[in-house]
Amino acid sequence: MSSGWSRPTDVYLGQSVALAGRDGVAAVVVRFPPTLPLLRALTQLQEQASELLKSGTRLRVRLSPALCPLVRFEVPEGIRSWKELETIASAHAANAMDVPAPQLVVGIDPLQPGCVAAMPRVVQEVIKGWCRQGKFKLVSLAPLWSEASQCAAVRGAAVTGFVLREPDGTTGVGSDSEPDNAHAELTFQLDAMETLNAAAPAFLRSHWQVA
Amino acid sequence: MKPIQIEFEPSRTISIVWGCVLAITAGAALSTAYIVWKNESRASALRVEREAAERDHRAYIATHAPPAATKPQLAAMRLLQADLNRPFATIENMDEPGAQLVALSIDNAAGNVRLEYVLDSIPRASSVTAALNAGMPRPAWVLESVSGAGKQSSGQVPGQPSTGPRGSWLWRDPGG
Repeated sequence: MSSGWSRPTDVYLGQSVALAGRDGVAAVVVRFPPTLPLLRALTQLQEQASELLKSGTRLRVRLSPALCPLVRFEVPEGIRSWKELETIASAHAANAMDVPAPQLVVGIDPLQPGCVAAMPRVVQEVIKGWCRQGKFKLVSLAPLWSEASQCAAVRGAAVTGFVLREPDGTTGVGSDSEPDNAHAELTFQLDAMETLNAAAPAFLRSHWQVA
Repeated sequence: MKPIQIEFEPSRTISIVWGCVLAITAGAALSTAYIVWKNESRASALRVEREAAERDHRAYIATHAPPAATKPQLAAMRLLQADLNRPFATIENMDEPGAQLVALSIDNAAGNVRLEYVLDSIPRASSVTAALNAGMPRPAWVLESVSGAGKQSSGQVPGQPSTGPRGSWLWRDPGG
């Protein structure tokens, strides 16, 4: 059995681009029109990255802000249950994305409940269906900005926020009132860098530019 | 800044751990319930068995019970249960000159032993009492009466009861 089967394959999914790689290096980049159905885009990725996407492969999928944006809101006082928090977060996300709340899925960090990730339910269902069809094991599904918030470049005490630029959107995380020098700038680009930055996120590290 | 941890796909490891915890908890609850149920069943079976045994016993007694004991039988039973070794031992060991045992009676109903000695003189009664109670932590023989005071006749036939004063002693077991 190939040793690649024990290591997860990283997949980045945007509105018009998809990357697949392993061990921090993207091997395949697929571009497609934004109007192409997501399942067909994923099928194209599977055809072009067949070595990385074999049956039984464990997948870590990260989403661009076009598919899974950050929604910030003031958490009202007096919330008593997680269900209540989810309902309020869904309502804020629906308002921000102009999508009915039942069609959204929200991900909440219990330690920072004011920052939630919202994703159309259909996107989650398509990704899961594709994994079932290809017999992949989906071990992680999260927005890329959440992955970026965990890298060494933004975890320093002096950094109060960061801006993440991706091919289909920009996400600002952290306090807006802080001076610019307290914010880190990260760019996720489709072209691989020649040198790998140790402070960049481990997920497809070859495509990160950190400032 | 603090990282933002968001995950739409719950970790299978955590699910497995939770599953194990739930399975162990459910297993423990089931085994406890089984043990309680088993104990209850056993207790219930024992109770039924005991009730049946008691019922059988009552039925057996009703059909096979011996007739109630008569008064003499009860007295004989009491006598059989009484410990006569100690009073008899003192009688055998009593060696008091001038005192001759002439009567020994056992009162079954009262559970008493009574001795009657013919004495050569009335003061001999106290020495006989002391001799009877010798070696006992608490005196068991009680002088009940002395009667018929008189001198022994010189022409008395040996082996015949003397005609001197007679003392009567009653055994009262200090232990019971």
